[in-house]
Amino acid sequence: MEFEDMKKIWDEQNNENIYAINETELHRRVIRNKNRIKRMVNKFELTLLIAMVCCGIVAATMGILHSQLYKLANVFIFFMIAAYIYKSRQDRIKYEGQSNLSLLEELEQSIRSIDYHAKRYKYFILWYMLPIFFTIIINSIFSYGKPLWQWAVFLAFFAFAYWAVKKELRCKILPKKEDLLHLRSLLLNDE
Amino acid sequence: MPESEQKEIFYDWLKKYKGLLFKVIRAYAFNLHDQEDLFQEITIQIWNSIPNFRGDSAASTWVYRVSLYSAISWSKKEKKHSTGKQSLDGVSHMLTEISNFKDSRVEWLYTQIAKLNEIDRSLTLLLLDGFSYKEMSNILGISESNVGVKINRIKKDLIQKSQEDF
Repeated sequence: MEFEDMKKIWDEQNNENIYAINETELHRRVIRNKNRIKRMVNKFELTLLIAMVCCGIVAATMGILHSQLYKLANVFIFFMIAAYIYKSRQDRIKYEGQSNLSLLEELEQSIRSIDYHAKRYKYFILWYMLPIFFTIIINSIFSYGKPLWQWAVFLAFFAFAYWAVKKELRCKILPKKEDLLHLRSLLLNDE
Repeated sequence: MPESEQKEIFYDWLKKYKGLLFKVIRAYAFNLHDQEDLFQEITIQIWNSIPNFRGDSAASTWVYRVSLYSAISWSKKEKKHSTGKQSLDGVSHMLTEISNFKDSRVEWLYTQIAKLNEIDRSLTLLLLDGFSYKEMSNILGISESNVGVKINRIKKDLIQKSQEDF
């Protein structure tokens, strides 16, 4: 069979309706899911941003009310983390705002987005957990007699958070990047 | 963009280009459950893409590009999550097969397309639907010469297989 024959056979489908579309069900599912992806991506960033701002406000209030000026160091750390999250979010939105991309450009944008998430996960300890750990240290220095078991709880919390972040990176983020890189190589192969 | 306008464009595109969507669905999903799942994914992406459409390309090219990218992403995800699918019983369906159109040669074409990798599948669909090398290059983002090399390979393989099978 020549390729032109295959094309003619293929074109014969154009006159046939293979499926009937239930437009009511379609509309329901599209409306329900239309912002699903945006919601998922925003959830983590906004939750963390709001949490850091709230922690900063609470620390500032407690510091002023109890005249504990050392708590202002905590406030500074919380607001710096919030500023970092906000900046990262703006960088991500800038990349994702582009439209009319080719398949290769979409893949590369997805790879950049994955790299952004991977970097944030990789530096989670440095940019989120260490600053919070410092606020605990500062509080402990100025509030004497913290029992040892509380230190054990803090350390267990940090160890668990570190393990959870590494697992997410290894099991979800990096395999997704591998898939995208594989697709990109299929596209660019033969060049 | 107001939702009413987005809805109007969405249903207009669905009416005009449903044939194109059905071809992409049949090329990337092979049972009714997966075809519904993929159809849902593609229509959501088309809906989300409407405010970004500036008319720089034809609407058919835009819809094709969004559909292919959605299908390629979906097929990668689907390979990982092929267990634990929800039963179709009691679920309201979006798609119902109505046609008895079963040309064995068309079925053979879809079988051959299914054996290709995700990128070659998209190229084959574009080629069979009459897109030029330049249009394919714009949609995929690769050079026309790369498109040419891939197309020649795909055509050669299809012709050889048709000689073996027919």
